[in-house]
Amino acid sequence: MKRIMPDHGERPIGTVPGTQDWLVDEAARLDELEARLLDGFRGAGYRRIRTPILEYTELHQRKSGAGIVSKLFEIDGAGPETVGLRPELTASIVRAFAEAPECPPLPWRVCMSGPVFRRESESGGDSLRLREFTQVGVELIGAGGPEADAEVIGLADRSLAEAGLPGATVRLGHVGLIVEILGGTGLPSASASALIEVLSASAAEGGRVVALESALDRLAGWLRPGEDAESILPAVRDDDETGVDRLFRHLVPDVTGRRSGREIVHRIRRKWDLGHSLAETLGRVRDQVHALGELRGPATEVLGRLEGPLASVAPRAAAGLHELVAQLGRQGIEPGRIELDLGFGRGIGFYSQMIFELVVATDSGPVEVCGGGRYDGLAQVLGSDRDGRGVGFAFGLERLAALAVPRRSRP
Amino acid sequence: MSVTHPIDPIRLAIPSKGHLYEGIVDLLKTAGYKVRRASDRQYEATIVGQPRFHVVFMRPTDIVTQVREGRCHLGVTGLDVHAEHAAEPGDSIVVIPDLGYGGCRLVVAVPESWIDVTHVMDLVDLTTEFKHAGKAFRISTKYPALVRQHFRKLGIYHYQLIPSDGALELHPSLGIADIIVDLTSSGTTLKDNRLREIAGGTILESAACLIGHAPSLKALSNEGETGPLALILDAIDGVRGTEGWLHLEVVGGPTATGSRAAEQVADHLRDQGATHIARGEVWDDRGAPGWRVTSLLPARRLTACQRALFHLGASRVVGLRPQIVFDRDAPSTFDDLGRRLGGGG
Repeated sequence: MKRIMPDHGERPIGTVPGTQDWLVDEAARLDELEARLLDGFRGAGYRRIRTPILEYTELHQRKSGAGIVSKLFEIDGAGPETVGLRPELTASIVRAFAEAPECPPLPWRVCMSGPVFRRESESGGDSLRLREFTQVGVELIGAGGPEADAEVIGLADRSLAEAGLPGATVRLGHVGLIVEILGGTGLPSASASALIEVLSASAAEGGRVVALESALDRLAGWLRPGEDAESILPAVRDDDETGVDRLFRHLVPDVTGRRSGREIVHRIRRKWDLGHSLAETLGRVRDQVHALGELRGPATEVLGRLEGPLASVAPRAAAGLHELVAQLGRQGIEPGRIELDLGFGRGIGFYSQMIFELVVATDSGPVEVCGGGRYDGLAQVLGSDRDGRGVGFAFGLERLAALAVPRRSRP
Repeated sequence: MSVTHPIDPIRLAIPSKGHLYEGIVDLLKTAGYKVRRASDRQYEATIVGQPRFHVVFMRPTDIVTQVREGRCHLGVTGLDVHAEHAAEPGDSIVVIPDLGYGGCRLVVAVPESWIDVTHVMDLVDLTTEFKHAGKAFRISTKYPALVRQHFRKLGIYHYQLIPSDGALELHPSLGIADIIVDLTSSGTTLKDNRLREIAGGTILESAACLIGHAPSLKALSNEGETGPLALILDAIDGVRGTEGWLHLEVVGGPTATGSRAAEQVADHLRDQGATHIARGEVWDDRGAPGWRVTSLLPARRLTACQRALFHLGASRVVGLRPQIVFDRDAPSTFDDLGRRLGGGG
């Protein structure tokens, strides 16, 4: 981070932290790499579209859980009218699909390239992550199942090889496992979605499923009723409506704030129900989450270990993974290149099933250059009744350019 | 041995008024750094006998910005203000997180009538309930970044921030917001406005703190342990080291069992939490032998133990408030800073 000391005449303006200039040669390399990727996508039947950089904050809030919203560059407005710079491309593409006057023919194969913006903050001395960078990626909308997943991962893998980096490791996860575990336990949806968002936020910063464990502990601590509410509980237990009201009016003769007495009483009742159903469930979920975090390694080995108790808790996700690994073989990605990591939760809360990253080995360790996954149901979240199935990925262009060996045009 | 010119003047930013101002001026004065300001309305000052220091007076938020951008090298502000802006890019670090005054907490406060809300996890559930009902859950605060950061960790996402200045306590009863996140020291103001803190709702423990511009501090720390940075930090450590302590002198005698009495007094003081105990023989003005024990004693212990000291043979007990204490084994802010900035001091 270069900063010019003051007091020496007029200070240079400098670039905004997390942004940089790309002068002629570097810019040419970025352009060439972008063109090569887009050509490959076009060859595979994906046609280019463009969507606005400015979007309502609510789009990203609904899509990603609000985890990503803390990283949004918001421009102005308040409430649902808030406008921000897009932090990624998928939400805009699915919104465009959902809101197109006529539903495009399915399956819809599109690709896109453009700048995205994230308010990355890196306290301490480390260099800031880029706050403005380019994503280049595809979406395959209106097709489901492992076959479509494998098509998209295969395209990403071939594109990376075409950019000069063949043989990348495919790191594969499955959000469905954790969602099935949480869903199968009878956790109320508010708590389940809160847990998923905790996970999503921590995953965005490189955390793992294990982050859920501490969230589960907090949840357990919270379920004890407060002193005041305690005195109402007997009446709540006995379903004694008038008793509850009378006790509440005695405790809170004058209700202030924006909630009515009724809303408060209603929630006391709900919390009491929850406390009963949840207490023992939480311990079990905790163990399963812990087991999930341990499941990482070469595909064949992890698939074997998945056969145990987890497969019975989350049978659909487990079966889907088996099928996907088989399909990837048909795309030329042999199991030896696939690393399963079921505790990796990047983008969870938005992705619904398979998630993947392409990881390139470098001298300074593995670098993730491409990420994606399946986000079935996103169109519905955005208020559409069109086909909700979708899968896609995006490369980080600048990061890829830093690794890809520059190649002169070949015959 | 740096080739570049030493930083001169070293610019120290201090809040221009209020308790943050008074606290640091007192502390510096005790440390031997008397701030000389021509008038209350003048926004710069010098330090007597320290020509390299240049003091400027600003608002606490401006101090954070100016230190972050290196225009000021050191600054005194509230830890709350620093933390609120910590995510913004820049090069400031906290040198001393607690200068020993200006303590307060940043807390979540809900209307008293919300008896169903007792723990911060209730907000996870409640904000989701608001969202499903199509209502915005509104939070008034002067610390939007800290609230966002903290709530994100807890998994609370569905709310709308009402960034505000001034008194927030009335916002819930006026319907401006559902809850507030605000500073409190005793909690009285919250209670008077029918608000209540909830468990797990403390976002930050704050106090007056000393911050600095990291690259400048690195340059200054290269001037070594006789350089101006080492001297001022050592002096502040020395003053901070006296907080709550009395320098105690216990004198007794003349008796035949003098040394025995002195030993018992020393043991008793040690039991009371005294440190740096030293004892020796003394002679009074007529040449009669006696003994003396000196120590540092937690101030609040003295009145509880003076009678016991008399019973053990003491004739006089004097407690003095120390002005500055240098202790070889005490942690040193300067040494610690050198390690954090990488490379020896």
